[in-house]
Amino acid sequence: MSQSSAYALPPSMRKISENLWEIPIGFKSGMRVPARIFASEKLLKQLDDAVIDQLTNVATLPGIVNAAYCMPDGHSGYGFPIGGVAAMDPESGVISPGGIGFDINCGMRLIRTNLTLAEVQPHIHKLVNRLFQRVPSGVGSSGFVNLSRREFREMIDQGARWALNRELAWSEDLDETEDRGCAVGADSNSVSEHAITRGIAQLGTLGSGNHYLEIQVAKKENIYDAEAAKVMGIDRPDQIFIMFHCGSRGFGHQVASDYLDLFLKVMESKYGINVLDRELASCPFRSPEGQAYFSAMKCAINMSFANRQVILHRIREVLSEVFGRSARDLGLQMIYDVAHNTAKLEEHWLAGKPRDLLVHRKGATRAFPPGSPLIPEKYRGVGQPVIIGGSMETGSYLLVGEKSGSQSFYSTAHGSGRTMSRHAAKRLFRGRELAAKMEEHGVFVRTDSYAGLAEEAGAAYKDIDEVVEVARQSGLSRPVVKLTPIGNIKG
Amino acid sequence: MPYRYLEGITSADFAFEATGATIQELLQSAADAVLALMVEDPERLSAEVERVVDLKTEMKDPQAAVASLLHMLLQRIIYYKDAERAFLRPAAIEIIGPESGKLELHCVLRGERIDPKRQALGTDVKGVTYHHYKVTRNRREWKATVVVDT
Repeated sequence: MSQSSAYALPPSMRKISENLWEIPIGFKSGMRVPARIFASEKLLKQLDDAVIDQLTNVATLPGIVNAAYCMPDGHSGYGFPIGGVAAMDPESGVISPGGIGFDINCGMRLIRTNLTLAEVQPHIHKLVNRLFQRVPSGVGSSGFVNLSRREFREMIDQGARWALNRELAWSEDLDETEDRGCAVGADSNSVSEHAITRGIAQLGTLGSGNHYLEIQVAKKENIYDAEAAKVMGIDRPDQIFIMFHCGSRGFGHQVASDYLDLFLKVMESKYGINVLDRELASCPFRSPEGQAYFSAMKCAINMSFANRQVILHRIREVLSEVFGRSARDLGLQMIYDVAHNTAKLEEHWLAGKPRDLLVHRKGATRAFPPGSPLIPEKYRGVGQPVIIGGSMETGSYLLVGEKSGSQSFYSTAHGSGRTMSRHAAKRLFRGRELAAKMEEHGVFVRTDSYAGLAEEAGAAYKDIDEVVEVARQSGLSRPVVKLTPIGNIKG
Repeated sequence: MPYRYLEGITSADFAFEATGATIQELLQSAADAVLALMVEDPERLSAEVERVVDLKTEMKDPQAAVASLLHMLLQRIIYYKDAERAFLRPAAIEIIGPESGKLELHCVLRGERIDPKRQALGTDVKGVTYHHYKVTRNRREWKATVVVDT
């Protein structure tokens, strides 16, 4: 199967509204629901052909409800496309590790500051260098929090609350984290000793690839919703923010591998489930294996929340050191923390009735609307904050969920989406030249891997402005502010 | 070159094709392909760290068994990258039962602790996928197509 930028779309695909396309049941044998893609004509032309195949494969999974969805930043993945969303009936449906991904709870955290561009710019090199020294990143990096195996098990059961108990968090941080930083029901007995060994030294690390820590500025002309911005603590011109993107590290990756292999062994022999792609290996959600994976996945979700929490603690220490003021005085408060790769039991209204559904989001962000009791009280007037990361050259967005997001189980995009392979990007771009060019354009970047930096060139990604505009027009989420990078740490 | 990276299979990660005249050579080539994503010149890694890996598989045919063994070995190398903070490369590979579907692998891995000051680091590899995963054999050689998540 080839990856093409000029893929011939299925003849049966039809446009059902502006920026929403549907491939009907019947396109592929076994489809139980249609496949729906949120995309402009421009983004549709950039879609690689594997997305159509993968999304319509997802539509064949037992228990899937409504449709298999692809978000505006969608691109091909394994099993599910990245940007894939699928909700299953928990009683009759399956859970699929391919619908979550290797990096369980890869996610984003955004922090406001009381600082402005004028205050930070003169110190940007010092700040980035110090963050680079003190927030471990890159291949094989080890974290700054040493845990025994017993403590690691406690942490994966408790998530960000574990960090609070060790004074590595402010209590309000948990309020501003999706699910308050803890997936309830995690049981460390559901993970392998192998997974613990693989992850035990990595608490407090960024990782590499598309993981990063960025210092950003909100320019006045990039604030689109002044009311929502004010609620989120955006309260001065050229305000500085810190955003970072990372996940559950080797622990989560091992949990994913362990359970993919288990599901492949039992799904057909024990449950009679056949899938069109091994990466869609599934078990009934209520089966012992399905429940064990759900519990293990929650452990990885919790590890990732704890990871981002301790990194925030380190960021506060560094900024306090560089600017000579306390973190409280610097106003280093969280705006929100969102997860990209999860499966969650949620209540959604379908055909006028509430239903419990297992919502898989792989490279997609939950975006609850205004009024949702599941988001912090202070955001219920405007909607759940959503953080969509662009490339390191283009900037990122803070958005809010919308009531019209019910069409996708309140899911929206998570990033820009790649248009070029990592291998192609490494051939076309030189990391050191890219870093120099970025500095000329006002972004100082530090990395341990210039090869990795080349892979992350802005040209390898879709236009983030287009992705966000499609999300807005489609009613999935509404932009509040665009954040422009001025400093970046890449693993 | 015993391995080459492939275009047109994955946009977000890396795909490669590895070859070898024997199963041992195939495993070596594929291991080097994975390591080369994470560190420059894995062939130049010193032998300061050693680990022994024993793996078994039982599949319906020899090609499926080699595919299973290869997947497990690559996953183990990725595991050591995190668990031991070391890049470990096969130094000696023994295969028992190569013409059957029941295979055993005894492999000595050797390499270095990860050190950004000494090594030119690449991208972190999270795991080996089953996306387009294939091991085949013709009269001349074994060939594997592998996609890793990065």
